[in-house]
Amino acid sequence: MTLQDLDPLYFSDKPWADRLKDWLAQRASSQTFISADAHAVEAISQRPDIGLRMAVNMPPHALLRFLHEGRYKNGYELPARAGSGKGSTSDTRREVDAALFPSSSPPPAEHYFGAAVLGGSGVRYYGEYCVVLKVVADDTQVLDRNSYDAKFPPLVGLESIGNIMDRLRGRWRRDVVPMVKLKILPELGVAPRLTTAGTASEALLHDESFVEVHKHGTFGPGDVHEVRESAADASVETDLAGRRQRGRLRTVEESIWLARRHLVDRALAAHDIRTRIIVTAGRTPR
Amino acid sequence: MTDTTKNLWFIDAWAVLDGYAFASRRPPKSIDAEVIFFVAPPYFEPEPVASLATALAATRGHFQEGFRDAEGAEIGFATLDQVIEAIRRGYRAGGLDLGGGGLAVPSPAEPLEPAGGAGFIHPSELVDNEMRKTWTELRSELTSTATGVEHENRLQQWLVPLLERAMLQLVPKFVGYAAVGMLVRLARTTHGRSAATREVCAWIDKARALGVDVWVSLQNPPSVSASVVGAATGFGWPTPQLAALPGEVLQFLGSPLHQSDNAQVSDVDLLFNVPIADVFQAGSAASRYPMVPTLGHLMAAATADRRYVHTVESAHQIVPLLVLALLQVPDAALPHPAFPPRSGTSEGHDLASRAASWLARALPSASLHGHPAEEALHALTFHLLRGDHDDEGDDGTPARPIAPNLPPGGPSRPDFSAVPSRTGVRHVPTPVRLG
Repeated sequence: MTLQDLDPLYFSDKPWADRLKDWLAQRASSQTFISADAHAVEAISQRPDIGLRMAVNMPPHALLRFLHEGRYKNGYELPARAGSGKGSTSDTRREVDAALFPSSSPPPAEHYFGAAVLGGSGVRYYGEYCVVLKVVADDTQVLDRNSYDAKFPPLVGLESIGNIMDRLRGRWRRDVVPMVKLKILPELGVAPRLTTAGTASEALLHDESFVEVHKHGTFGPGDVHEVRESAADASVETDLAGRRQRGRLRTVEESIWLARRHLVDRALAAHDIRTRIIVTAGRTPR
Repeated sequence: MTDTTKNLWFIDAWAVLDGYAFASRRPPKSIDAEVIFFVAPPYFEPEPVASLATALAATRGHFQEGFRDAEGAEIGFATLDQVIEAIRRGYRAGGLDLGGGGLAVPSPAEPLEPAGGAGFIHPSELVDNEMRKTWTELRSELTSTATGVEHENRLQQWLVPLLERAMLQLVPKFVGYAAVGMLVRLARTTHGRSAATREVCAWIDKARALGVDVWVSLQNPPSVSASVVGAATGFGWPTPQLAALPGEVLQFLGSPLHQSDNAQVSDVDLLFNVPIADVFQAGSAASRYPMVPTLGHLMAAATADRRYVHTVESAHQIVPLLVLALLQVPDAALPHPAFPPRSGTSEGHDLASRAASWLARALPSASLHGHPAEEALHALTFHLLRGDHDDEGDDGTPARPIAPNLPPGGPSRPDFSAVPSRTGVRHVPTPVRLG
């Protein structure tokens, strides 16, 4: 079995725009709204407020360090905090990085990973604050999924990891919009209704699934468009405050969590960085 | 195929100070995981994750890759609960670097008097036989390898009487020291005076709610005193540095009229501004624990590193933890000012019970006893307390000093006369030494 056996259109060796074209053509007669949806996604991706951007999720301490130090650091630059740092770059990582960044590319340590987002609050597993960048260089490498997916079924072993990466990668300006459409449109189903910004945002970055962006060179607070956080975290904060007002004692973890959130709020204000709470992806109450 | 009966739990990706982590059950050095979980603060409830790829991708940013020994081998855990305990305690240690810029400590105050000077009362002198006996029992429980609810209940059982006895003298003594430290800091502050004034006002307000009055006099010589609410005796500190304070400050110290202003200091922020005097630090000589500058830092260090309570040698050194626990009780659960929580009253007992319950659950359990994570968490806590800045090629702000350099003791003959009260000037009888 090869990659194309999994899905001949999606994993073909054509440019992403052609793959999208073939995919749409195949569904034109059965999914009558799909072409209009594709145009809608394109329009949404170009909106200045919730348009397509690169985002890096950070938990509070990492965000405060980023603001304090004035630059983002990647996994190669940060030491192990607990235990030994010896052996901290696994064989798996070396293999994936070598395939992602072949010898003709700048080395892996010079790349900073993020995800493509529309209006959502990013990959929450990596941090409750979604730091959205202003611009992405046209030639920035993008991958249609988490690069580590190449080491797991059903992709692993189908072809060399280098071939797999070649088939999944693209460049921001040329490829990211068709790549994003190919991720969003299948999620929309066959409903006879035009998609919305919220639906498209959630389909692009859903739970563990995202489009990976490999920015060459780091970034600083001045490069941040805005910081988004989910309504769920904001409601936990309110809940903790309310419980204390009703006489409940907080745990140590709750106290530290709240204190950090307050520090983040102050630090973002000091850097004049806009913050937004995301209620539904693509929709903001303030 | 993986033999699922033999596999341990391993940490795949760990943002230690942020408390975010992925862990899976699998063979070491393998990506063939049976099950993967994610945890994060504030609840640390394990959440299943579909793919290990999600965990590995976390290491692209601020998550360290795995948890390894000095040889680079992955360190396994017998249970998921053990993993979560390690992650939770790493997060608590992160309270020592709350703002991401290293150990942040209020600027130090200068010593007010030499240790062991005339009239000096060391807190250890305030420990009576009953406290000593209770402390012996408590220490045995604190240093045991017991875990679970029954252990916590036994801790609570000894903490309640210790708290009630400490509220008579040792808590007022601690409160007074802290007030002196904060006031001297305020007197020396030119930038951020408003915030420093709010902090000391909030401390005096909180102390009052916990049954301790703090009095400040700017008369010659300026002094600070602390006593149990309504008591005729207490502790005093001559504080000549306060001469630099404008007289107007006094009317704001503890005045109910200004409590709404003081409320701008959050309860957690307050903890990180209440200094711990040298005489209350844990351990002695070679076994001394590194200086813990404030109650907020104590909350982080003592609940992350089990070595802290092992270092506490005598009953007076546990007082900072007792005060920390008392401060956890929210205003809504504190006694009405008409019924201050004096020792021997039901209000005093209720307050001690609530604080003891919190502390018994906050202190680290022995569930990692003998596991390499215990030593790693200890090393992390020491590292952070020393203000080490360890990023490779880091050019960030250097760590700030960690020693608040507070006065070592208080005199036995405080000047209680003409001490301004919350509503004016209060005359207090000449104090005698307590205890």
